[in-house]
Amino acid sequence: MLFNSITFLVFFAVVFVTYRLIPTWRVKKIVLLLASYVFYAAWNPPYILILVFSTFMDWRLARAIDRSQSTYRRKQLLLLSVAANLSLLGFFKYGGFLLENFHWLLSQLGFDYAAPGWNIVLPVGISFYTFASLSYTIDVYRREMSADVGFLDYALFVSFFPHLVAGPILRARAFLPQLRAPTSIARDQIGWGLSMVVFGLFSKTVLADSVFAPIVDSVYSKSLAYGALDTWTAALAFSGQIYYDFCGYSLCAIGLALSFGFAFPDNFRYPYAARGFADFWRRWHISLSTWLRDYLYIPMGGSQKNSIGTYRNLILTMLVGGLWHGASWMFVLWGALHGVLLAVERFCREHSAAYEKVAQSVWFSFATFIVVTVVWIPFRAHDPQTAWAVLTGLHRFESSSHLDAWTAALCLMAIALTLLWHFSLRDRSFESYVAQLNAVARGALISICLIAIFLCSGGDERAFIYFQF
Amino acid sequence: MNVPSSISNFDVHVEKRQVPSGMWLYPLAFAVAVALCFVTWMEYRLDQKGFRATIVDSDAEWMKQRRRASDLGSKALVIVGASRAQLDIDLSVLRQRTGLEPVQLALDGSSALPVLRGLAEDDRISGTVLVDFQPADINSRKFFGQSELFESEWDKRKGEGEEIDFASTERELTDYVRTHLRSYADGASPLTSLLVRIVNRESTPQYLRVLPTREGLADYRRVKMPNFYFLRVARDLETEGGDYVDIQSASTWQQLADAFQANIVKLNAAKPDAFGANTQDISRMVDRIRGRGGRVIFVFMPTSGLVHEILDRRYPREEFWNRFAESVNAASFNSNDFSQFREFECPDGSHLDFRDKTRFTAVLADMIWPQPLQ
Repeated sequence: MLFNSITFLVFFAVVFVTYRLIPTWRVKKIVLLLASYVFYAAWNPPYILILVFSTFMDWRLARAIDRSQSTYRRKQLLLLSVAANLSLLGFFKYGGFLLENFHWLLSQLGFDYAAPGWNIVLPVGISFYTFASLSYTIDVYRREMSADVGFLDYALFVSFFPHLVAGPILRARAFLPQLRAPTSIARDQIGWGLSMVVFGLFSKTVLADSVFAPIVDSVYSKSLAYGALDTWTAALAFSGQIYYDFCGYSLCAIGLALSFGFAFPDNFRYPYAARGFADFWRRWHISLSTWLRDYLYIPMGGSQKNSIGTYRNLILTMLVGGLWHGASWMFVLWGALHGVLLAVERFCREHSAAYEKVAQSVWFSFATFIVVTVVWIPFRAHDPQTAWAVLTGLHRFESSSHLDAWTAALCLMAIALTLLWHFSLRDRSFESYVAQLNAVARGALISICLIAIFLCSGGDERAFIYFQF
Repeated sequence: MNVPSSISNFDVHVEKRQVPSGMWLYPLAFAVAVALCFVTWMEYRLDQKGFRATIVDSDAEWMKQRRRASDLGSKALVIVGASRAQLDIDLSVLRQRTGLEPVQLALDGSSALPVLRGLAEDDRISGTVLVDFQPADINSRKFFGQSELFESEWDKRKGEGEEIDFASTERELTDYVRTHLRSYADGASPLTSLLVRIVNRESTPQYLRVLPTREGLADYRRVKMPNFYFLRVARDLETEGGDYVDIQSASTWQQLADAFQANIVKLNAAKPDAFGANTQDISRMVDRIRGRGGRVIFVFMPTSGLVHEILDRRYPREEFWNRFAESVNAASFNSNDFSQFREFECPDGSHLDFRDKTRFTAVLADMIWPQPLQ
């Protein structure tokens, strides 16, 4: 069920009204859990069993880890949880990919082996809820939290519908305490939460789908036919599309949770105003980058080892981050490129006294944005041929443009405004900015968004890009 | 609700979000009201300009009818073709005259062949198939329009039942909203409706409507004549390889008609490129449908004026229609052969006005089914 669908509007209205009318906290939570399962089942009802199985297994294992005093047994139970979760993820998400590569390897070695077909549908959101679930068992193992939580609360943490299919990746340590006791929800908290949903839908429907996507789709579908100007426009447009698509989803998720009285963390912090790549990853998909930092990079040794060890850890972490996005070498390449960029940046910081000074300039932020834009190319391209064609298109000079001039101009203007907005607010929160607006300005802002959403509706209905991960 | 600014919403362990101080629910309610007023204003303006809400003639609507064609079996009267078949035939008249259940599968600007092939290959199709004969389609090596795409999509989805799931629920709800709002008329987005239909004073009025049965209605009183007619002639002439004629170039309509006439005379007859092979193919398709007890009927729909002359010039009857009618083992009706059709004038040269379609369909039905079917 997509947030930008009429079905979701009806679903949300029913769940929200029911939730508000029920006086008992426990029943409220049961309603939210059932609603979340209905929300998930809308894609593929049988896959609800995987979600319930994964939830129950981690809940039981975490309790066993928590109770055990034996370090060896605790470690074994943790390994079981990690292995079971990663096996599920591996089977559904990477099974076909592994088989395909195995097939290729055998054919290179001269073996004539035809791999059986792999027609297993990827359970939507599995990457997100698996990581959320893993954070719980690891935190319990580390004694950073106890496992004295009931199954209802834990199941709701894993499957609460606003974050279930595309995050933000929640931390049990932050969400489970919110389920202990009801909190009063102020009228304006609901108003702000639903306003965030409107801003999120505006980002998705108007900016990502109507302004940026048509340019991206045109150029990537016939990448050899376009010259440098068009290809750069498309590359910049994809930076805009992926940001507004995913940030839009995150805003909807945060806003929906807030209207039920729950706090989700922000997932984006003006990433295109980042000063360097480490800063970019502190601002882009924050819930994933911090997860990778806390549960992969630091356990591998982080930056505590020598320089070579740190570079290796950075690259390995980003490789996993790339692979997390999908079973494709293009995502691995994208992750590897970011890993190398992070390692190079760290090397420069450690070996050049002038680096910090240079990194403070706006031009450095702009350069970071341009490199990030180019690195998005393999992420969007799906195959190496398209990626290469787009990359070479960046310097294929042609005297004329094949794109509609108005659409391209609108797209470039939207990117320029996005950069301006990110640069001007890079150290502030969106909340502190909108807090300055009076009630009339707030009403006008939301009205404009709602009218724009209506005007841009009825076209090509697109799912959120991050649903596929 | 305010929380100390030291708590950051960027912290992944945030347990309470900072909410911007001040009112939010009232501004939100105000915004919803403003947006509803805007939608109402658009609907009012479109209504003033004569626009009506329509269904979107989408692949989903086509699939729905395609499924009916299979489910109805021998009771089905399936109509295949392009815009003439969609705009000129009145389904209720056909139902009344034949006792069969009409199913509209014609697709605007599309080849009939992929759909006919799909019907021939479907063992459940055992009714009557009425095909709009288009010589350009039968002479083409490539299929044009959406028919091939829709047919292949149907091929993938035909095994699926009509389950209630997210996709079908969303489709139903979306259809409901769109068939009740003028802003989405004819599949337009509200932005297109605003810019092209409301802001632009010279916009083409809504002269075409598609009914839930996929039957089309063309109201040519709503368009500027003879500009509209000459635009159609210019388009058809170019499609058939004639010279471009700028309709602004002449000072009188007669001069413009003469300019077109002069260009039409220069048109050569089309080489029968794929005509033979396609006719053989069609013949096999007809035999398959007939083998299951079905019936296939080809109808050359009426055209008028310069559009008629272009077709006559490009696809001479002896080379195309006659050869086709002789080769295919099916009933074939050419509207030019019957005096009853001469009274019907196509205002744009190619299609009938909706006021004429009932009478036209009655005449057509009487010709094909002179005796009422049992």
